[in-house]
Amino acid sequence: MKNLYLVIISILCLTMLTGCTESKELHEHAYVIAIGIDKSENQEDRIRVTFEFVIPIAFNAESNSQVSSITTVESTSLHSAISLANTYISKELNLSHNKVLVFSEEIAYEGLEKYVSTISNDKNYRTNMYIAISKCSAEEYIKNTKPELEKNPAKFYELLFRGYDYTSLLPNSYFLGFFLSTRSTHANPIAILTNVDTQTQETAKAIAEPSESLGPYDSNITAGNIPKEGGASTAALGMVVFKNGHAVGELTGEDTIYFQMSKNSFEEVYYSIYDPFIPQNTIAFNLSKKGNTKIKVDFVNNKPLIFIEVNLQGNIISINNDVDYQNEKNLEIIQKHLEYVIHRNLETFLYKTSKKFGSDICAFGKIAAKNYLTITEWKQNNWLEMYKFSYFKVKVNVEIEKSGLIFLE
Amino acid sequence: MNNRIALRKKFKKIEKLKKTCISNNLQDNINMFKEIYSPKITIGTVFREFELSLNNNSYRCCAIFIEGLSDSDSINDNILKPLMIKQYNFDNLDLAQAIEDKILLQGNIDNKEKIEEIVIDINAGNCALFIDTLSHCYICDVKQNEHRTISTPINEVAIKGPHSGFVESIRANTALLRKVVNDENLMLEKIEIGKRSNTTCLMGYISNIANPKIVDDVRNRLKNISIDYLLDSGQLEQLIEDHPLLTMPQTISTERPDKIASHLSEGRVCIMVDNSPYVIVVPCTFWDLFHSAEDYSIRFQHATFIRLIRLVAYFCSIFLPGIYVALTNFHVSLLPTDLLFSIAAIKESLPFPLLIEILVMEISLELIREAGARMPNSIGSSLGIVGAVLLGQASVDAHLVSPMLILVVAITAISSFATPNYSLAFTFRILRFVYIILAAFMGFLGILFGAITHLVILCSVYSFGVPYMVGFNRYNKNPFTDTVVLAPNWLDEFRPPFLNPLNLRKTSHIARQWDSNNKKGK
Repeated sequence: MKNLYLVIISILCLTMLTGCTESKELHEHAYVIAIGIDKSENQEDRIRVTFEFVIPIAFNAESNSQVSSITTVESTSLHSAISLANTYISKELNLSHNKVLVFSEEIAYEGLEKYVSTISNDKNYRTNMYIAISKCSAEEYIKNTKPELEKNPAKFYELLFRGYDYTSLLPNSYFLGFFLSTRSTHANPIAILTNVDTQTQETAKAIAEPSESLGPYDSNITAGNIPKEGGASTAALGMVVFKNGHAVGELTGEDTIYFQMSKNSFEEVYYSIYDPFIPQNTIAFNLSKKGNTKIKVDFVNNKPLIFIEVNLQGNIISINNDVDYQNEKNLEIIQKHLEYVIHRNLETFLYKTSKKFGSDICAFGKIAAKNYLTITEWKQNNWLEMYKFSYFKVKVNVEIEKSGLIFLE
Repeated sequence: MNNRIALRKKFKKIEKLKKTCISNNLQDNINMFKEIYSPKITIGTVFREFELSLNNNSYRCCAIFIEGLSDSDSINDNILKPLMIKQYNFDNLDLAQAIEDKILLQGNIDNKEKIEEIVIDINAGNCALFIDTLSHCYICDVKQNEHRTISTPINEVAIKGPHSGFVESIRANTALLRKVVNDENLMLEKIEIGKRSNTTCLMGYISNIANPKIVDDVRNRLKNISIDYLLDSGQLEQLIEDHPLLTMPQTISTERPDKIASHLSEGRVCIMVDNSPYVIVVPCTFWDLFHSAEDYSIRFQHATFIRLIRLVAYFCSIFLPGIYVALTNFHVSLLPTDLLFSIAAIKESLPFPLLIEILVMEISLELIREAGARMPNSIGSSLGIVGAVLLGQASVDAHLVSPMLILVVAITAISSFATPNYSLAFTFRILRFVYIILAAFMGFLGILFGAITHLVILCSVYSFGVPYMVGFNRYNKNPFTDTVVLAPNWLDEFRPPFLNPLNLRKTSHIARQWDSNNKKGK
């Protein structure tokens, strides 16, 4: 009997003390799926926060009614913006299904640290929401994002930013990883670069400057400069490099491929080079990962010397009738050329990160830390500052499969 | 008032009378039994008086039996005919010897003097034969052994495996069991329970396997039950189990002889109760309730698969509605976004909070089930249609509950039907409500709190000296033998060690001895 009382008392304690204050019917929330943060145009210390939240009843309606609503509030902080928005949105804003956090370029260059650490303290956010930097204002980006294939905009964000799986042209940048990298002593964070795409084919051509890349420059651009017509009016391509909590520069879609290779997160990409036999033609490959990228860090004269060995596998997928791709000699020439192009581009990318940005986005610090015995020693040497003096030794191995072509006699 | 006192006095007198022995005067005896059975008021007891001629003397006799319970053919042929028709002359034998040795044709007879015992026998359907000048009577076993024909067990269906089930007659049941066990070491001890009903119970065990301590414990408990009437084995379960307040069943109750046989062969003890087709097996552990009769008749891979499915069913039937409440009311971040939006869209038009919705649906499901169990079969099917169509479809159309909820309740109901033990399914049905309430107040915290409390309680429970949650047979090479994963029976070499049987090994180290490679199973 005594035990029974104990059980009853403990149940009462749990119910009364914890209470059902957190309990709320799920339709009494307004679910935010994207948050945009911009600088206020008039006042320096204020920000403009844009919320996109879904209207669930519109999903069931047959008409093409709007499934999401967008509102922008001006305030001093993100959380006061939420409170303010709740004064005119009838339901409590729920951030647990927020898919993406968009910052404007201006704020990114000023520094994201204070926003990121505020959000990391709030359990209402998802840790796997994507971090994107918009070249236009975040408000504009969210307003212009009109999903064509999905009714549910949350799904659109989820799928679009997961494109790193199969295109390698945008990085995987989610909130927890970003936050940890800002606090890390061995890596710097990156974010996805987004923009409203306003370029037509003509204007885009003018923008595409000749760069250091040896390839046909197809993806050597950032979001906003895609020569396209039709389709969604916003895009995610390339990435923004951070150092000490603020942005220091941006990298193109092609650079993102090399970034994935050196970070060992590369899966596959369509990659084209100029044909070594007929220079005006291009050969396209389906490049995929063959083995793990081997990285070694040494110190020469107190400067880091980083060895990178990238192992890839390539299938030729373009057909040029004049050249016999089945011929082993020809294949070897192509392979050598491909290795050379990737080698050069990778090297350029790595020196860009070290010399131009001085930001270890590929997390070489993790490997470099093996050279230190104690954590104090590691912290004293300040890897992130040392990184800009790095030198690189790159080795690229590509194996080209013979039977690359399906329809060949 | 006076009437009551008089009656009470009369019954007290009869009780006192029962303690005494019979006299050698027949008329006294007849009067005594007439007082006990009061044939003037009630019908049924037959007092057949007749005369026996022996050695030129004639003795008055009286056969007392209960009409219907006794087999009238055997009374006529074996008792009345030989005693009444002939005139006997056995000079060298006295009366008692002559009757026993020469005259009475009945196979199973017994001498009894105590009135108490004689009454019990007459009640059981035997015939008591009183003869003048003898100070004891003969009990002739002429019970009518009529019972329902042995058929498939209705409530424990197995596709593969034997198809005979116990019936209400304990004689038929022992015959069934002996046929399956086929072992001279099978002991069936008779213990009578019930001060008034004197119900025959049999305690069965295999004497050179079962742990004597368990046997003694069961015998001790059975002999020390003070109750007037014992009508069914379900009643007995509650009288002998260790923790009567616990909702979980602590005995195995089955109507399958093959299941009883397999339990006996492991060293357990079974208890049969007359007039009950359900036989109790003790000790019982949690995992025994998890097994169905069919598991041992099919291949071990198939049995393991079914058991895994059953584990899912157990989980769903206890936790699923609670988890749904916790997810939608507390932890929306754990729902997939698309699902969340579609639930939210439907919930927009529903008037009640989720807790009321789910309680309404669960209670109406229990109503349908209870109604279905009490209905005659012919109406049962139409009840199903009413339940499914009206409650399910109409409540969604009327915007009372969400279709998602109907789905949850339906999966829970199906899971509950998949529970092989009827009594355990009951427990889960009650616990489900507890978990719904806990989840409604505290979300996953509440469910966790309930689950841990539940587990702690179960771990502290013993059934006849065996821990309830014991499961793993450490002697076998396969540690999972016979809990969730069923090992092939050539690997299952030992009886459950927690029963501490007299003989631990049940399969030779090499069971498949024909196999020239002598490697187990290969």
